[in-house]
Amino acid sequence: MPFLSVGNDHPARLAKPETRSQKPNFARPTYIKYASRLKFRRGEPLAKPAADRMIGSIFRLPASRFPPCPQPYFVSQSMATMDSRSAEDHLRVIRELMERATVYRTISAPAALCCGFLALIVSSGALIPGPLQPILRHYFVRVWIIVFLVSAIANTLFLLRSTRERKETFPSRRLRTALVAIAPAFLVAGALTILLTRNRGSEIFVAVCWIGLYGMALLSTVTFAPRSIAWLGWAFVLTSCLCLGLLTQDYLFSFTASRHVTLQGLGYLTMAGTFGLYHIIYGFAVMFYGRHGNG
Amino acid sequence: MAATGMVDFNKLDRTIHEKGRLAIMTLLATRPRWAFPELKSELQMSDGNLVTHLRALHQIGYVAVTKEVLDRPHTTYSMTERGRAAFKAYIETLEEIVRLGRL
Repeated sequence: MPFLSVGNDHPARLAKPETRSQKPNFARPTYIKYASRLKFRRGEPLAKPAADRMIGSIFRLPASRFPPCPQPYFVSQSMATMDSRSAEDHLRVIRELMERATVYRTISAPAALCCGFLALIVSSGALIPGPLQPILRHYFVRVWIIVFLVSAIANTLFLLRSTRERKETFPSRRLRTALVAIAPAFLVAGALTILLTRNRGSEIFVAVCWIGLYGMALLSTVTFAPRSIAWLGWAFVLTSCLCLGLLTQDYLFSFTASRHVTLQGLGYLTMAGTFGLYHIIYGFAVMFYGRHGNG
Repeated sequence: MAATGMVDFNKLDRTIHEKGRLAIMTLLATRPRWAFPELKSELQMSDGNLVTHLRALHQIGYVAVTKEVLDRPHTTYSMTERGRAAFKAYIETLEEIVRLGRL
């Protein structure tokens, strides 16, 4: 099927071109390129205002291509026939491409490893008998706030390094967006910490709240975060739900009594399993398999 | 189509409307600078194809090219103000088409 629909009675077919060079050369790359997009308008050229009204976008080919023809008009079909659905498709493609390009990892893989190992070391100090054990157990909340601050500083440094590598300003627009997204969950975590630490023996509840809210903070960045962040967030949230389900008074007392574990010890165990182990798994997974490992 | 007949299709920038160039402009709108290999890997285009589109966009003044030689040549691309305005106008026209289509 020819890409130009020219009628049999059209002067382009009836008139014999005078020279070889004046023949319309359909095999030329320029014509082939236009083939899928152009539609030939038969007959005399339309009056320009009428053409504008009818078909929107019109341009003409050089007259030398069709010497015997009246100058033909061509219509850019993709534009003239663009309806709301194709416009919507265009916008969807633009949005998807933009989202894919603005993928932002709020926790860099090295920072996750630092945080994970730090959590494991601190938890080991609190769980294994030694000189540090009483201090760590007594100051549960303060210890973990220090761990959080050290991890946050490490994460900031790694993000700063990767931002410089990409020649962006720090904090980048994406980092600011991420911070705004995670801020509510961190604020609630802070408020709950103040509330729960008024009572002794609430360490395990504080830990479970932190785990759940941290997971929610990660999931709040899911629209622009890579999939691994979402998995990490869900792991934290589900663990928190599981712990909340198990933390009935009877179960808690029977668990701590049978294993000679204090509530502080249980809190450290939970923190080691989540903030320690989950971050280490995430860090290694991103370093070896992730595309955006450095944030 | 009756509703979209009110849209002036001349507003749709032909340079941006092409699929490959639209993808390039979209990516350039997301970050201040894009290195050539990054664009290539993100768009899954051949070198020649990408260079041709980038050249077309550069010639029309939508894309700025920075060539640096550090340890090896490093070419980065960014969107110019003119390009940003054209891209914005293009998206606004698409939105207008969608809006009129819903009426």
